[in-house]
Amino acid sequence: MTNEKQKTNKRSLFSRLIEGLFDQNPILVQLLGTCPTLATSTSAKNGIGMGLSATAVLILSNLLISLLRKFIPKQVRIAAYIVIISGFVTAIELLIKAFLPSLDASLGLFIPLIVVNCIILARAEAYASKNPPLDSMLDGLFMGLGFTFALGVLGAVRELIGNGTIWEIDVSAGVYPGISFFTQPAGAFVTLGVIIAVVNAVKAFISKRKEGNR
Amino acid sequence: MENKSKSQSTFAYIALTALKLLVICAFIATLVAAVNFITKDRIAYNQKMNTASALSDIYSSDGIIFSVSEDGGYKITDRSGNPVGSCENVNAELDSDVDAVYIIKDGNGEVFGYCVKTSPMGFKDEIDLLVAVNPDLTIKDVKVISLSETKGIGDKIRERDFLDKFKGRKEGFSQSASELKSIIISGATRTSEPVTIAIDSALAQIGKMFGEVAEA
Repeated sequence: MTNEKQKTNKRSLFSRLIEGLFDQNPILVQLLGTCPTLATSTSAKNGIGMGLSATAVLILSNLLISLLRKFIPKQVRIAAYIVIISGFVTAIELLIKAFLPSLDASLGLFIPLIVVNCIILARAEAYASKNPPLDSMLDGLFMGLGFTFALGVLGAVRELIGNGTIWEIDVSAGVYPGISFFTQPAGAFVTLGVIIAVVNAVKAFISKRKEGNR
Repeated sequence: MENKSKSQSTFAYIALTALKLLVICAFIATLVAAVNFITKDRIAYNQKMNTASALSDIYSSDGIIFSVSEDGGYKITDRSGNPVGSCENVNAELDSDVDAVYIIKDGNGEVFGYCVKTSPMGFKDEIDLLVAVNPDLTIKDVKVISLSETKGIGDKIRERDFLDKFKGRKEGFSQSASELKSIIISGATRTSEPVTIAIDSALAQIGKMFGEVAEA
């Protein structure tokens, strides 16, 4: 058991990054945080902005929760985690309002809602409360990058099909008018479903090839 | 004896748990206070810049540009940067749904227009609006400074089709139910209705403050 734990801790950074981006992606595999995913992925810019904001909160909250893991009483840990997470979200919200006002205008109400993003609470409970600070920070970074990656891809696809733009730049030279369905919540569900299906198909193909090589 | 010691240990446990939570709360509150201290001036400046930009858009046809002055107010210049008037924030008791009233004067001190800043509650969050009123108390233009409404639905209030309906009006739409119904955007009622009522309130505020001046 101890050997297994040590082995897990010594996993290479690359394999942990792959885990966060694909194998354990919070959105595409674990289906966590679907509400902000669907609401804020109207464009690549919004998706990546939201993803990076959540990543910053994930890294900081994982670090502090890990540092305090022996201090926080087990019975009231969820209350303590919520206080820590909401504090960091408020700090990030103020910093965005001050230094990235255009991102604040795009994301608006969804930045404060990071407080109740289940990815953050899930990582605090499942990882940061049981592991040392550096490992917990890296976990926050990789899971956050996975969240950002999924939101960015979803936002880019919706923006391209919905408006004919990528990063607010018209890539169809005004020829393609866009299908507004994809900028609406229903379009977000359909696009997310298709992306998950594609990711699963790619993963199944890769694992079949690996088995074939054996 | 055993019961007493048990109740003492229960109390100690509760007190220690509460104390630990208090320490965490105090630490987080200090962190948020520090970030607020660092960012508050910058946030206030950004809000003023947004208002100045909206004012410039409204008065762009008159060739004047608004910017934030060093004292935190607004200054008016022409396109070459020469001062051409003033924008004064009126210090008076305002209606509860009005945030600020500005008087815009030209270089001779003549009133060029009035502006009202108001923030009605939309479907999701507050919507910051600027209502520009001519000296004859008709609406010159309405500008949405910021909003967080649903894309494709609530944000239709930014469209000129909706905002242009207010131009030139001396009376609000919310005077009668049928008039109010005529301007509400179908599917975006909870955004367009409070905005319409807020614009009417802005017009009423200006009428109350400067009605006699206009009539004279």
